[in-house]
Amino acid sequence: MIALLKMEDLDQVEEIEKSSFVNPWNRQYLAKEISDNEIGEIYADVEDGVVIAYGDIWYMFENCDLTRIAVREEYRHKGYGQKMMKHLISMAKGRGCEFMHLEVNVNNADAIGLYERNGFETMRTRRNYYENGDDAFDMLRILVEPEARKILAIESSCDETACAVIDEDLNVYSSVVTSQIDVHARFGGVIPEVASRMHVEQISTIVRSAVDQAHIGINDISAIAYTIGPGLIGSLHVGAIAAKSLAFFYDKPLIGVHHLKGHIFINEMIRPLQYPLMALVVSGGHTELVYIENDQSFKIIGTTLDDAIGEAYDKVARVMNEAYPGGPVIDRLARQGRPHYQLPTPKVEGLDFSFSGLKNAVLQLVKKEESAGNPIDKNDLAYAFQEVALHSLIKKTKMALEQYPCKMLVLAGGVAANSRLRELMNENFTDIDLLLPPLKYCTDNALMIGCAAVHYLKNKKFVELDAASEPSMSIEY
Amino acid sequence: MLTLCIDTAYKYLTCVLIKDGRIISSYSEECFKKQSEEVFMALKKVFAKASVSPESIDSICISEGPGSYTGVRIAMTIAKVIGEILPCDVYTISTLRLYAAGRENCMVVMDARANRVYCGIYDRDRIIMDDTAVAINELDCKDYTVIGDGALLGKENYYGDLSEAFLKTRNMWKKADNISYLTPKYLKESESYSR
Repeated sequence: MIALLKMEDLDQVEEIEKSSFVNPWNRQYLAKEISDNEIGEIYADVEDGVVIAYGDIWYMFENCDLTRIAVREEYRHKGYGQKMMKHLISMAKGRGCEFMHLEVNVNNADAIGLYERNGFETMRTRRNYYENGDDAFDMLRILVEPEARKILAIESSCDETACAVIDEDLNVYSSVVTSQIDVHARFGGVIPEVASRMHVEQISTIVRSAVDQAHIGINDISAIAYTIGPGLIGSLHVGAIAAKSLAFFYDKPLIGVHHLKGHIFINEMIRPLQYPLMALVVSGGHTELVYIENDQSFKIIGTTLDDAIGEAYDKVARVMNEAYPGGPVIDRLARQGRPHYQLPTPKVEGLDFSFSGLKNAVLQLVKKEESAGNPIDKNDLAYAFQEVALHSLIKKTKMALEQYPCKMLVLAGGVAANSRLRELMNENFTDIDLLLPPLKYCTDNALMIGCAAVHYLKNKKFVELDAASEPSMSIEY
Repeated sequence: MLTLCIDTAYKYLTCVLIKDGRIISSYSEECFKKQSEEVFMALKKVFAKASVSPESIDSICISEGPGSYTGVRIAMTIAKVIGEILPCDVYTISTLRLYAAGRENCMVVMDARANRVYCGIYDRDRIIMDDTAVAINELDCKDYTVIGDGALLGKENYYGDLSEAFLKTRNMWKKADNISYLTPKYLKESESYSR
């Protein structure tokens, strides 16, 4: 058992000293070390009254010195040195020490091996350190595990005001989102000026809630992240100014995150991404196939030539006199629908998409049926539209994976919440590692900006306080 | 008592540090539509010049509008976020009243586009006509000193020293009771943006 060395065991220690060191400590010195040295502690491993090993530490605030460690000769190479070392390190950590320092004779291979196995690194060589002229290594071990750095992230690119605190290991401390969707639903879509105004109204409350819920101070944060683009310029501005305010007032590095990278990296809440990676990004503003070689290399290999898929959903919903946003509405109606109406499959070369032809076909079909006096079956129409639209996504994604073999496929963006799309993805991509974002993370949130910011932080990609927001920023940037 | 004052509402970017009733550092430059990129650069300069840390401020005063919508949102966002997180007191003053700077009988006008102006009439700390958006041809400025976009009324454009203006209007600053409820003074309702 290892405990503090007792006076009664001093004789044994003196004996071990003599057989272990060229400059052994004598009994008087050891006694003083126990009784008078307020910063020093000797720990001894004693079994059945036999001192097997001991170690001496001097504690000096955040630093400590390992001044001695020795194992009785006949007990060497049996793991007692390692046991003592482990104990000493845990004692030092318990005292709040950040570093442990020691000197060792360059010729003492056994001891050096023990120290290296325990995480010590040689800092420098001291020439002629010992009385016999031998050199010594100065060795150091950092005792505190570096704490995962925390990021405060702000998202305001469209109609959600959001703030979250997350760390590098993706531990979530808080995530607060307010949606303006009810307001915009009244207008049948997002009105940019209205969105900007609501962001300003909400921003301080949202940031405050995220900070409060995380039980941290801004000074515990390592970086401030925000959506730099793409998005509505007025909306982006509010989040940018809020983030820069914190970065400036608290002197923190600033990270400008690409919104779609957020949608992609939120998938890491499930599992780490594997590269090369294919991302199918589907939202109200984007329909893109992105080939990702590593966390810094993004290549758009397919994109929409006209409407984004989410936009097509909204427009089709409007044609059917259904509420904004159209995605959830059509998804729900289509569940009740049957094959009935015929809509043309978009014909686009290569990996690109097109949805405006399909949207117009829906409009024509509705007009034709109405003028013929046939009531529209909304369920069947939603079904017809959704099947054509989603199958074109699946088809192009398959083609993309043939051209660009990948280890993993991820779905990203607001439309990733569509139940039929998730079904089709699961059915069609069984031979590749497929990640579908959890439903709660499909719509815009700040956690996704935080997840992406973790990569920016690791790659030291920061922006300055005068960075301009970029409403139509490419993911390749 | 250290107060940071910011005006980003219109053509100028003005940042001032007022300590115990005295300007200790200021920045005021024409910066139309570039405020969102420039404002923190200006703040950096102002704090560096005064050799104080941003965290050491006791309060913020901002011009709340009217003005360019994007512009008024900049200072408002800074004040709301910092006021809430630091935390510190937040004061606001109408942009037009700030421009009036406590002068006698003055009419402040600011281009609101489409032949309209934002206009307020002030006499020292009295409000003669509260801020409003009006058609240019409805304005009669003959009894007043015109401040702001005077050229729209056949006078000269004149904005004065906006750093001094913050200092001179100190007794007119309004303290925000609840920072989360603060909103810019747009003088045009959200509802008017419906399609």
